[in-house]
Amino acid sequence: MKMNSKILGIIVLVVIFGGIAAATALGYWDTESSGGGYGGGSRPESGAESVRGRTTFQDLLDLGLEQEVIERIIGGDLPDPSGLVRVYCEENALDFEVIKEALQLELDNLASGE
Amino acid sequence: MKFPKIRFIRKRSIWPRVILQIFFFTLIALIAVNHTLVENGGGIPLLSGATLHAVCPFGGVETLYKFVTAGTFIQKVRESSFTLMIIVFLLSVLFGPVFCGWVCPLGTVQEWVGKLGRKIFKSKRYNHFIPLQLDKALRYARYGVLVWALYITINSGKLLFQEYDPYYALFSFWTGEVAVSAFIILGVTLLLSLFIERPWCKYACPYGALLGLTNLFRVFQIRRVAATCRNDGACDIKCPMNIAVSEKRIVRDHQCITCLECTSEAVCPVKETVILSAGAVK
Repeated sequence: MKMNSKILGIIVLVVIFGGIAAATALGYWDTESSGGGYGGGSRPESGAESVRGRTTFQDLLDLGLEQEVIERIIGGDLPDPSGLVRVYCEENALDFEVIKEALQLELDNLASGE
Repeated sequence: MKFPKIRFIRKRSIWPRVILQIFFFTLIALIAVNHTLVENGGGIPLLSGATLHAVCPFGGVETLYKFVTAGTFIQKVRESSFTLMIIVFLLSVLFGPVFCGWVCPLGTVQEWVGKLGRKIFKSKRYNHFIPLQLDKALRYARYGVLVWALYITINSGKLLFQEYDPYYALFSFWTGEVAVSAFIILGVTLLLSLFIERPWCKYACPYGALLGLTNLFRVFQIRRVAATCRNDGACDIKCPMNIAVSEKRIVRDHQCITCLECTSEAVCPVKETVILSAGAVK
């Protein structure tokens, strides 16, 4: 069976986006968290708030995270609560993605009652 | 490799591939920019705010060990990376490393820079600067990079390869999170692309090394019909990966990226002589 470039191009698109659509439908597509395993286990469906670039330390405290937990994750004393977590990471040469994930995990656990 | 004298090289190219390359480059660039915008409280509507790691199938490969042993992913790798890894593997079993030739934005950027190099050095000289034996040996270096990338990832449980990844540097250079080493490797890659087509893919890409192995057993293969072949060497000159297509009946070279530039749809002047097919050609 021969195949030309037009058909190959279409197949590439269909397999990639069809695969993503199928994975989404089956619960195997999560771009947000790497906390858990494969197949819907990445994040508990707890309704927990997401940690984002505009999240402040005060937001985390308001969501119920204890000061000690935050300090353990950032590896230092709690800074000005009104400051953004992202800016704090940049100023202290911390990887925001890593800190964000650790905080998110704590929030998820809190929301799911663990 | 010595080429027979040919009058001209057909300039026809595989336009569906060009369209897909532009599409995927734009998509990944937009997702990367959008992630920064989302982090800052904004974002482009309807576009994913995923991280670059979430849409990179190599992340799935890097986390494979942790997934098998612990059932979880390493830091920064998402479930989507794992799913993409499976999708790309399926595509590769069918068509070889079509991801490299048609989708990967870093390969696309190298090709775009290479077009300038081809204009400067002309088709016969460009991409043939490195002595054949040295070139052949260097091409196995990417397996070393693959083993090393997996080793440091398994050992640390972190995406340490990011510190050297030109793909990450290309699409995150504005974030302030890119290591100097990654910038240097990106710069060297782009500079070398003026002389050599796809230098990163040929000599260093760990994902290309892995996907390249599917060339040994892929379902659809590049086949040359010897009966109608004029042996003019045009396919050899056009091949971005310097594969001597004119010396093979079936291209099983571990470096083939299924770009189809050697086929009768593009550079080969004889109809139905170099084709992509499953099974023998009549």
